[in-house]
This record gives sequence, C-alpha cells and structure tokens, in this order.
Amino acid sequence: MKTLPCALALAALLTSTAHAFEAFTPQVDSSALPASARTWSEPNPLRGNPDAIAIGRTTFNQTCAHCHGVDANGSRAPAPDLRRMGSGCRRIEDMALRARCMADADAWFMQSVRHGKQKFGIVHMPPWEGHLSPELVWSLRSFVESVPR
Amino acid sequence: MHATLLLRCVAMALACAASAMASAQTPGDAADPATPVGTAPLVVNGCPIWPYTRCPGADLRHADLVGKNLSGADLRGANLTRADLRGANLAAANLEGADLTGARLSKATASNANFRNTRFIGADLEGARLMRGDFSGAQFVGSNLELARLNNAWFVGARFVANDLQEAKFVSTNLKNAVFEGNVVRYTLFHEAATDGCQGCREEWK
Repeated sequence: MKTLPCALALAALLTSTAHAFEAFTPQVDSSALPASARTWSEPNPLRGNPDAIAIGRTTFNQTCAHCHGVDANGSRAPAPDLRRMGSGCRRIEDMALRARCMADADAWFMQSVRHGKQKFGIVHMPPWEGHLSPELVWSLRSFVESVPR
Repeated sequence: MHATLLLRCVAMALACAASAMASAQTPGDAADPATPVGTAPLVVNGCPIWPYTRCPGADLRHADLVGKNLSGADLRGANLTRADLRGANLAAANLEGADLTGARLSKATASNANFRNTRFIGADLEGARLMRGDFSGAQFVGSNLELARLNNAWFVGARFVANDLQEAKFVSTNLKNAVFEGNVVRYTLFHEAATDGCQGCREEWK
C-alpha cells in the first residue's frame, strides 16, 4: 500500500519536471516586425525598435519569465539574469569594436535560445528553434537590453 | 615501483616549478574583473578580450589575461601557450582542442567550460574552479592542480601523468576510461566518481 503513493508522487514529480523544460509556441502577434528581421544572423536587426521591445516583453513573459524572472528581472530567478549581457560593449568608444562586441553577445544569445542549454545529457534549457521565429528572438534580445538593472 | 617513484618525483618537481613561476610575479595590478572596463578593450593578435568573444584558433601565446572576463568565449583550438589567465573568468567558454601548455590558470573560474581534447602540459591550475567542465580526451602532464575544484566534471578518456593533484576535488566526476599515472594524490577527493575502465584509478578512491 505504501508503494502506490510513492509511485504517484514520483510520477507527478517526473511529469512536472518534464513539463518545466518543454518549449512551446507563444501567443504573440509579431506582424508589426519588419520582414528584414527574419534572419538568424547577428547583429540584432531590431535593436532599439520600440515595437520589438513591446513584443519582446510579451514573448519574454510567456516563454522565459518562468526561469529568468518576470520582465527579465532575474535577481531572484533560478536561471541567469540576462539584463547585463553585452552591457560592457556600450562603454567602448571605437564604433567598429563596439559593433563587434555587441554582435558577439547577440550571437551567444541567439545560439542559446535556438539550441538551448544541454550538458552531459541534462537539458537545462530546451531548444526554442521551431517555436520562436528569428524576429521574435531578436525582439526578446531588444527587450532584455532595454530593461534597466 | 621505481618508475612510479620517478614519475612522482617528476610531478613534484614540475609542480614546484609551476608554483614558483606563479609566485614570481605579483598578481593584482593588472586585475580587470569587468572587461571591458575602459574605452579601449584589450585586443591580442586580432582577438578582442571581452565576454562571448569569438576567436577560434586565436594566437594568444604569452598573452597577459590576468583577471580578464572571457566568459562564454569561443577559443576553440586557440594557442594559449604560457598565457597568463590567473583569476580570469572562463565560465562556459569553449576551449575545445586549445593548447594550454605552460599556461597559468591559478584561481581562474572556468566552470561549465568545454576543455575537450585540451592540452595542459606544465600548466598551473592551483585553486582553479573547474566545476562541471568537460575535459574528455584532455591531457594533463606535469601540471599543478593543487586544490582545484573539479566537481561534476567529465574526464572521459583523459590522461593524467605526473601531476600534483594534492587536495584536488574530483567529487562526482566521470573518469570513464581515464588514465592516471604517477600523480601525487595526497588528500585528493574522488568521492562518487565513476571509474569504469579507468587505468590507474585505485579501489580506495571509490
């Protein structure tokens, strides 16, 4: 009799764990975003775009906030705080170097979202490619950059 | 027995030499915990030194990278021979196939980094934080890993020959098919390590 509750608890735990790491398609209207942003290549084509920032915020709170914090406030979130990613680049005076620095951070962000974070067979973050279009990922990046820390 | 004793002597000598090199120069004055801090970031042989930098195959020999932030950097196949990375941040960096011969990484942070097939020959890794790293296929020869934290790291097929592993933490590591030969393992911790197919791993380590 004791084994049944244990088995049920284990099943519930496994189910909830699997659900926590499942990627899904968010309900977001991205029609306001330019078609030119439909590219996986950096740098972020939507940097500073107000529409992208608003769409990115909605997308973030549907798909990322569970681990990275609501409105990208990752100060008490289990996953890394993304707000400072590439922030050091803004202090570089040389514009060519600054652009390269931003592109490096953009590439890291894009790769992380597309392919997720998996180590030694453990999925820490699922791959979002197939659920998030390139313009939505760049919107996420634009939103995250716009949030003050 | 004589061969093992000789290897241990070589390990101690190399480790002492690595420690002496580390103490010969004073760390701190070039410390740069938040890169880039100024308006002109360091660029070494075309490779800019900042987080997430993409420099596969870069020539960073003898580079002074003390305290630099290279987290998430792509340094696959880079030549870091005798590079000075003391206190540097290499968290989640990709150094697959890199050459770290004679490199100084004491007290560096390289958790969750990719060191697959990397060469650590005569390297100084004293007190380095190397948790959850992937060192599969890596070579450690005559290196100093004293007090290094290697918890949850993978060393599948890695080779450890004549290193100082005193007080290193190999807790919960994957040592499958690894090779240990002539290392100093005084107070080294191997709790809960997987040692299937490991050559030179001792029963008492389990």
